[in-house]
Amino acid sequence: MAEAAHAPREEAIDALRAMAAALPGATVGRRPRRGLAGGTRASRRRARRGLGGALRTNMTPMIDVVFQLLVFFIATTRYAPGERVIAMDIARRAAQAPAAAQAAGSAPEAPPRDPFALDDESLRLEVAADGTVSAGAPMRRTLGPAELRAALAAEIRLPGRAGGMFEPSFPIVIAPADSAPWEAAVATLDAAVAAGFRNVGFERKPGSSEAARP
Amino acid sequence: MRASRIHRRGPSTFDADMTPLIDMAFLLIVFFVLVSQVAGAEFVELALPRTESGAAKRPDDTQRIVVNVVPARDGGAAAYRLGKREYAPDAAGLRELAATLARAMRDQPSVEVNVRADRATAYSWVRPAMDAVADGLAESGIDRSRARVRLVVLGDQSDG
Repeated sequence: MAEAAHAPREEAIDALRAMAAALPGATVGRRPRRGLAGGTRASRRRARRGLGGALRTNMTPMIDVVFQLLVFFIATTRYAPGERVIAMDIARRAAQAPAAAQAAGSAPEAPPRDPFALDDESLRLEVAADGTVSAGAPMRRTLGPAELRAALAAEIRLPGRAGGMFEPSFPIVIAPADSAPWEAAVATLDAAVAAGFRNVGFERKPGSSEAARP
Repeated sequence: MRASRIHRRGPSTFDADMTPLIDMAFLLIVFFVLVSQVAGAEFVELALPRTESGAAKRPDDTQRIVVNVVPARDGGAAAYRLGKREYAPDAAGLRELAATLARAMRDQPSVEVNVRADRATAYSWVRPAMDAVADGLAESGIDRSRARVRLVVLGDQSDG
């Protein structure tokens, strides 16, 4: 049984030898190893089992490079962890006169109107370059950026609360000066939305599709 | 009897199988290369405006286009940037930007436009970007009366 199993193997080895003879410099079997050839019996046994003989391609530099690349890309990838968005609808065209944009999630105006409600005009908040906000017609106040939210919240009319001039759906038009920094403009929008107004937007000038300054 | 010289050693084995490790490492590399390319196209280095009151929300997973107002010195804008393309901050560049946005809205009507601008950029340079969104919507001819714009701000870090 064992003899029968060995016979084809011997044939295969002979065939390999014949192939090896055709290739110059090739040997069949274990490659003679330098350095380890004359060790103790235990060290030779270890060398026979170890990685060195079986792994022809040295993987170490490749893995090194792969990990270097990995660390590089992990370290240089930028995330945007603190980014938030304020959604705002912009009217299609500046044609409708005070084109107030509607804040997201606003409900359509309720049909029964308060007879004492103000006209359909809007509250204009002009933002100056230094961040102060002057509120227009019905309110007529100049506010610092810090007090803006509280002042707007005091003017909003909510069910079950006394006082307040404006419905939450009253349009608020923010008109920043050309030189006003973007942060001041956004802070005003943010304050109005946080106070509870649902119909807040930036003023649009008709025909303003080119930059204001040359 | 001569023992087999090939099989005396036993089958060749790795002590530690490196293949899954290398597979994973390459997958991670490909992932980070792609992510950094996408992120690099969307995010221009700028200081976003800070807000305190919490009207700003976390962005959700809707399809978005990001328009960056590339800041210049003294509150100006060097260019408007959409993806990897830059548009000059003049009338021609803005018309081109509006046309690009119109194409994107036609392809994907539910798309939303994020506007990122530096906190120190003057409003007169940010407004054209928002106008371009409205012009793009008008040009696209899709049946939506309002364009949704989302202003990107730096939110309070403490809310998670």
